[in-house]
Amino acid sequence: MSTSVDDVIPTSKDRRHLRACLLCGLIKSAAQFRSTGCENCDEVLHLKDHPKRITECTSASFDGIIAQMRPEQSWVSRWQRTDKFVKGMYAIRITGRLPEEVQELLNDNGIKYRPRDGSVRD
Amino acid sequence: MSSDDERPVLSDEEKEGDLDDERDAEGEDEEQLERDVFGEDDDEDEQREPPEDEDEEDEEDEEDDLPRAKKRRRKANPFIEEEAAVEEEDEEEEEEEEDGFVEAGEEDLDAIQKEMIDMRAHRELDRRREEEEMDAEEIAERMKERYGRSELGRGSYRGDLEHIPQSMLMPSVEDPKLWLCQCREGKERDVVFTIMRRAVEREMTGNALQVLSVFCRDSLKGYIYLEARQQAAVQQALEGINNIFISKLRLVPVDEMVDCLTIKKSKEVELRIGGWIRPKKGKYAGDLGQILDIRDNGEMIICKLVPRLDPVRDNAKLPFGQKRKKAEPRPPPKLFNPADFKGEVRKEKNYFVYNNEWFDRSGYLEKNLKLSSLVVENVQPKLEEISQFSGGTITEQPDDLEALAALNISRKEDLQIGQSVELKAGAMAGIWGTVVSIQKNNVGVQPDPKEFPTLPLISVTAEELRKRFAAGDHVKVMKGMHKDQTGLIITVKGNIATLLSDSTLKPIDVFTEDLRTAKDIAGGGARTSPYDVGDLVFLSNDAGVVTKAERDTITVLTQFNQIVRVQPQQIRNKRDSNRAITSDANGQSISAGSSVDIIDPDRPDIKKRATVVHIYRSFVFVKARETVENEGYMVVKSHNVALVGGKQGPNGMYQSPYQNSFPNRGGFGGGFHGRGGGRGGRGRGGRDPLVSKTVTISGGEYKGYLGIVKDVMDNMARVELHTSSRVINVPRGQLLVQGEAAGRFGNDYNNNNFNGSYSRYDSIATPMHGSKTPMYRGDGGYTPSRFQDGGRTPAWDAGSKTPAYEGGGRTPAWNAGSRTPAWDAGSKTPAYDAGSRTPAWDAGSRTPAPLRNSSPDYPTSRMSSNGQNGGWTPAGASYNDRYDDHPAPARVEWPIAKVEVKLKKGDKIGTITAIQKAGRSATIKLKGGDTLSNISFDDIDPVRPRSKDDKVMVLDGEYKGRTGTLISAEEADAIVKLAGSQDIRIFNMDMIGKYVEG
Repeated sequence: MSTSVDDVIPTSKDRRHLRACLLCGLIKSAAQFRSTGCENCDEVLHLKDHPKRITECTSASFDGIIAQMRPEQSWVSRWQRTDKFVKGMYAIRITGRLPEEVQELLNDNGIKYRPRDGSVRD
Repeated sequence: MSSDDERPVLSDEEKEGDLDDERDAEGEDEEQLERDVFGEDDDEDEQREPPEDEDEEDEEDEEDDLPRAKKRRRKANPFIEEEAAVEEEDEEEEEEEEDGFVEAGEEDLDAIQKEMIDMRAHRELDRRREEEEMDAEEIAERMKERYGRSELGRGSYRGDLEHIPQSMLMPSVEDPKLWLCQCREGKERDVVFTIMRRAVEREMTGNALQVLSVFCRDSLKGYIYLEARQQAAVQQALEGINNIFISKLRLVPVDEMVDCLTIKKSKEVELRIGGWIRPKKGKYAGDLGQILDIRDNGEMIICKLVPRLDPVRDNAKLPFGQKRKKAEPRPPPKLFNPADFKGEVRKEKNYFVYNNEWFDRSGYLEKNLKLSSLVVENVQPKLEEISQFSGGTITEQPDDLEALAALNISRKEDLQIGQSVELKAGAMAGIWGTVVSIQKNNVGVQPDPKEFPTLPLISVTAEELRKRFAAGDHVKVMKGMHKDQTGLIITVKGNIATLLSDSTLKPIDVFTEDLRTAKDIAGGGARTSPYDVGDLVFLSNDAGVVTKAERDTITVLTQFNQIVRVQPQQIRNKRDSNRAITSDANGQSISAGSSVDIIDPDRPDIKKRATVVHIYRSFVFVKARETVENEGYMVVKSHNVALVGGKQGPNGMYQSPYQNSFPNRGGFGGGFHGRGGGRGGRGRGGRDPLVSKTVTISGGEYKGYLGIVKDVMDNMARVELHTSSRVINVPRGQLLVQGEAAGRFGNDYNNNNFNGSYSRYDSIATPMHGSKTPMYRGDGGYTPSRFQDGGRTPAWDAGSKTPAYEGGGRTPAWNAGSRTPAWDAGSKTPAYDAGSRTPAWDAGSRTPAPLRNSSPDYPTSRMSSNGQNGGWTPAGASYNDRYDDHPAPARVEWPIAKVEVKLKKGDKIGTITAIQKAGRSATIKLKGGDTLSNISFDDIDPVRPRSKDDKVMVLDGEYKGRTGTLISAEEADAIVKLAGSQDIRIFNMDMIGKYVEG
């Protein structure tokens, strides 16, 4: 997937209405999610152009922002399990979880869902 | 970048998308919901028409209101409208930012304020959706529809597929390091974003940033973290970034790195529909609101608020391009009344819409607020708020209020064991009983044995309980406006009790949850307010007297005869006006405590008797007993009062002693006038007779100095010394008027001490003085007050100084005190008068009186003082002035067995072993072992304990015969711990003797 910087990194203008993807933690503005989906998870979450899914699978309530620049080298990215994801802004902790149905779907697809709400440590 | 740049493509796409899958697959509702959050597309369309200047937008909003609404209604989709508003708002905010107009705190609320949301429709939708969701099959169907594709699309998801436990990811020394850098508070996110942008910009250049990641945490203000291999990379990344304090760079130890990324799960806040909230900021900050609905994973709360609208201001159209100022005070909360906003309100279903805000039928504002902008925990609404919330007083809409009040859950902390409670919910609702235990989550309730004999102990949560009170219970209010009030419950309705306050005798309404059974009666206002009824207080401009003091309101009668109700903090200070003095209609001085007649200038014949409480400039605050209003307080101009008896012949002098009961100058002033009247009405106004008299100071540091009295305040005189021209303060009792003046003053009352002039009245008027121990009195000089001029009891003056006294035989009057006849008989031996008493004896028995030294002269000097003022020696005067806190016993009937004594002759020390009362003699065992019998009482003195831990015996008074231990000995006082108790008492040294055990 080709990613343009403007799709991934929220502009200063959007900063008020940021949301974080509940699966990967990517932070973008709602508009960005709608226009390009989640650069990491759209294959599974299909956020692009689906506002309803965006409200379900992303959260506006998160704490901590990581600017991930070199995920492949970064320990922070590895610890956050975002090292496979695109460069961009990620939330450290997100309030909320993916809907049950989505979790089941992920499970069915062999993707382990780790809630990023700070409740899980493994 | 304007919003138009960003989105044009989307809207088409979006539209398509909508048409394609949404409408078919999920129907109208779904579509609405989807648009709910991302409805910009429609809006875009509308907004694109005028690429107007942003400044006009406000105007646009208002003017466009109706046409737009119409458009939207045509679409029958309120959500689009709402989101359109949101979008507008975004732009507006930004533009405002550019204008520098935004006050950060208000943005959110203001934003939401302008949102137009048909919340009812929302809720209906939600409900419908919920119903649908009941159908599990359908859900599965739909989910499959919606997410089914993901089964195929998984391929490119690069997320974490291998399950590496986090413990394997712990940082090691090989890993990059974290640096902590200080930055300006509130700019953390900005800095992180800026660095990210920089990284992106330079990515392909030779100057690419070497940092691996940068992050900040909301909970750690003023810091950001940077991850890099070398510090140089950090510095490179931070170079030239604003708001960074690069000098404050710190390396994070490896073992702390994990903590930097660990954010504890925040405490879950339980939200429920019907719960109470308070907005944190904006126009409704701190107001009480009720949750009507919770949306968006609990991020958005639909609240019911009492609107704060100002018809005048809100209606005023602002001139082109002008922004509304934000600093204006907010209007008071008031339910929406469409009549106030004629022509600008439109109806939409069951709502009124005005200024893009939605009001329900009863006039409440319904508003979408972000959870983050609300206080949801520990809201604790007060009854006053809820009653306002319910649109007035409780009685008006009892149903409504009860419904509201039922939501006010009781908390465990409010309950006490023994509290009578009622179950308000569940199958057992209506059962009542007593709280028997309070555990972590549960409250054990024993159902009332009479009513529910068969029921066992019930364990419930505090929320399910309601405190139960019955009419007639005496309760105390624990919280709210009426905190600390107590009263009797008159009625209980639901969980609202009406009680009759003990302090104000007015009914007040309170939540039963805020009540507690109380045995004591609280003063309410008096105890909790720093101000008391009758205090002279100063407001911003006025002075006034407090006529009512409640906890939060003080009622003040100002000098302009206005009644104002103020909060305690509005009172600048309180003062006494004891020293204030003014002159009455006749030019006589009056001061606090003076008894005056209020003269109505129009009806001079009608007078009202009152007492001066305070004087403020020419305003006199008086209290009249017969007046009911304002607790009897009135304010009058000083020329409208006349001092009672001020110019009325000889009987005036009898006024003074009674006034003297006021512990201030008023008393003296009155006294003076009285005397002035007595002497023929010299009417010297308010001036103290001492002023400008030449006096000798008879005591203290300046004893013997000569000076002129400059001023007299209360009982202190300011005296300018002749020698050094210094002005010093001297108690007036220490002043002796010189020469002729002294004689004149003295002639009237046989002494030169002004205070003495009414001393005799004192002793009549205030029997309290007389109640001092008789022996005290009897001894003459030891009166508790200098004003009493010592021993001038009538008896004394009336001639108790018979020659017999001199000769040794005392009159009964003199003896009325402590002495038994036996003692007297013995003591009046020639030896006594001739000076056989040792100085020690005298010093001891008369407490610190260095002036009264030589006993032989003593009676004589006293005699000479009688009737001859001039003859008073300074010593004599100061003797009168002596003031003693401890009633000094004269001569104690002390001989008690086991007390160590000293023989006056021969200085031998011994112990009393036996006492022969009749013969006034004692048997004494001397230290050496000899026993002497028949030693007269007069020949022995008790040995005073001197050192700590000496055993002592109390020789007289209440504790006579008690033993104890000396804790410390002062000049004339002994601090004694009584044996057999923890009591520590102070005794006059005369009262105790050294005790010998065995």
